[in-house]
Amino acid sequence: MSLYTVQSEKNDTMGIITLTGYINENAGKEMITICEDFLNNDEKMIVLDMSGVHLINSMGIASIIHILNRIMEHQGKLFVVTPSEIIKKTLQLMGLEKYLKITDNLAEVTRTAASD
Amino acid sequence: MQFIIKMDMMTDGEFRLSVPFLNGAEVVAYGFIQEVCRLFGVSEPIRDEISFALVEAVLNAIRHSRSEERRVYIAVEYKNQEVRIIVRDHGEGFNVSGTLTEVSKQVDPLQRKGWGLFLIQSLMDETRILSSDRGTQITLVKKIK
Repeated sequence: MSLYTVQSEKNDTMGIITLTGYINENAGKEMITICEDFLNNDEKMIVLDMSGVHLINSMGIASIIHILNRIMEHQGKLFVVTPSEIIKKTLQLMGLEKYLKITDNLAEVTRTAASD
Repeated sequence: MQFIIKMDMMTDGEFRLSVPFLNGAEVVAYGFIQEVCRLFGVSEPIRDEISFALVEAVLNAIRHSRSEERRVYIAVEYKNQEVRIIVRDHGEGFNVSGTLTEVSKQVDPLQRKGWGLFLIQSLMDETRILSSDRGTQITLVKKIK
């Protein structure tokens, strides 16, 4: 039984990676693969929907950082949508809030991206 | 494959769990500490901080201890408004001061390594590590406000 799910979709404005469960090293690898696909197809606005994630370990966070570095190399942006309080705190403790944007929902992603 | 969890509550209010070096063992530890902290009346935000730190401590033992026994031992107690957790392995030990120095020197979050130890120290109020060639013991303390 898998401890997580990683799904992706693309709309007109962004690529969305939807995560659930426990984001470990294996989930991180899948995230990275999807992100590379998005970037190779010139999709530079990428969203991690973490509303269904209850646990992430340091390897999962390292994968987010890897994705962030790749997106920044392409002058893109990474949004994290609806992380739990503990995950939000973890991202803040790691100092990542200045590099990615945390929002409460996808509509806010679109509004934030439009205003930047 | 048999996944053996040894769990018991000591009569003095301490809970113990030992888990094998198996994929997902840290998830069992996560569930364990969540329930123990709930029993102690720890609020959800604090419970989650403790749980995340414990997951990292267990993963560090699994990844780095090189324990032939291949088990991690966890003991939790609530005393004097503190949750105190001890995570032990019987592995080869490591250079604690060197590692802590290395972790503290890394400033750029996008280049940082050793995330696990950094997270543990950030989420807990006290972290103490003792390590020798007979194993490593990490003590995690969280004050319950």
